[in-house]
Amino acid sequence: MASIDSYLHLIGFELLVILAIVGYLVEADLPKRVVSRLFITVLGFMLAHFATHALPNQIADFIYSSHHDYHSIKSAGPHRT
Amino acid sequence: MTIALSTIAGAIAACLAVSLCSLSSVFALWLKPAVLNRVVPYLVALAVGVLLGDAFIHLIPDAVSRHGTVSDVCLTVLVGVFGFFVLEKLVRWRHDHNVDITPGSGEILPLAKMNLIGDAMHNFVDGILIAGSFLADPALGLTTTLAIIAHEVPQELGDVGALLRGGYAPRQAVLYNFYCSLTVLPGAIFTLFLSQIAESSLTLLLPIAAGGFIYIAASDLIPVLHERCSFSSLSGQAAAFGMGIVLMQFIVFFEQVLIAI
Repeated sequence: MASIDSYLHLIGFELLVILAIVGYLVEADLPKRVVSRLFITVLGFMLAHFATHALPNQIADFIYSSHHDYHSIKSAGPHRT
Repeated sequence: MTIALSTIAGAIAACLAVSLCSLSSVFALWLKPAVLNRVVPYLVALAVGVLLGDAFIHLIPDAVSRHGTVSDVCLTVLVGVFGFFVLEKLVRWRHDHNVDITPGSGEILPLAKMNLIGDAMHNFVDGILIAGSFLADPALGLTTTLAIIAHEVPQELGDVGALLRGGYAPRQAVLYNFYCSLTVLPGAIFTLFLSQIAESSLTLLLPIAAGGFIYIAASDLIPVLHERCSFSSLSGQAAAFGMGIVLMQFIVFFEQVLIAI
């Protein structure tokens, strides 16, 4: 079973693609602006998540995996920074 | 009953993937109007095959396997056909008794509206199926989603063809088709929070959706196919009609393979 983080990444990615296509298809000004803002909000959330959780986790994972003495520090469950 | 957050997130991700598939018909916008006009009758024929195939190969057998009695399912299918007939009568009555089957300037034919209503209902049922299978087992949820996506792509293509024939502009057809596909989310949310009611409602919703598809294909779309009477249109439309049925049959085999894995 995939972790909730993987599902949330997938939802975010799907929302971005949907909003990009709908934004292209909508012609009226107001709905286009709303869709664009939604797109930027979702993108912002995803970038913030990447910068504050995903990237530090990857770096920590790399550091802990790089040295034998650190192996006991590495947790088996989902990593939270 | 407590539901794991990952189950809810998985079901929502699957529903969004199904909605995303409905946007696959966006390619129609890049076709030239002349090419599009030539392609639409074949897309309508494909829609007839897919809708009838979905009803007879997919929805009715599924309802029978859940309900058990063929006579009850057949009666509910007839109720669905009757309900859609009354609905179309109401739509036509609201639009000044419009019985013309060729769209005028900016006029939307009832067949397009009926198609949107039927598609919205079908997607709601898909949402119930996706969330129900995620509740049972996430792996089953994944296979169900793949099976739904497999039948969704050809069906959405056919639906857009029917909407174009009904008088919608290409952009509107793709967008309205997408808006209808979003009913997959309320269907999933309804199931996640009221799973027992949703499971029992499937015995009614599946045959009613099948009745709607049969009605739309037989009374709205097939007459459109009879407008052109030449050998090329006969062979092309018959091939597209047959391809729709074959696609639906192939999806049944695909589902059986997925379940066996």
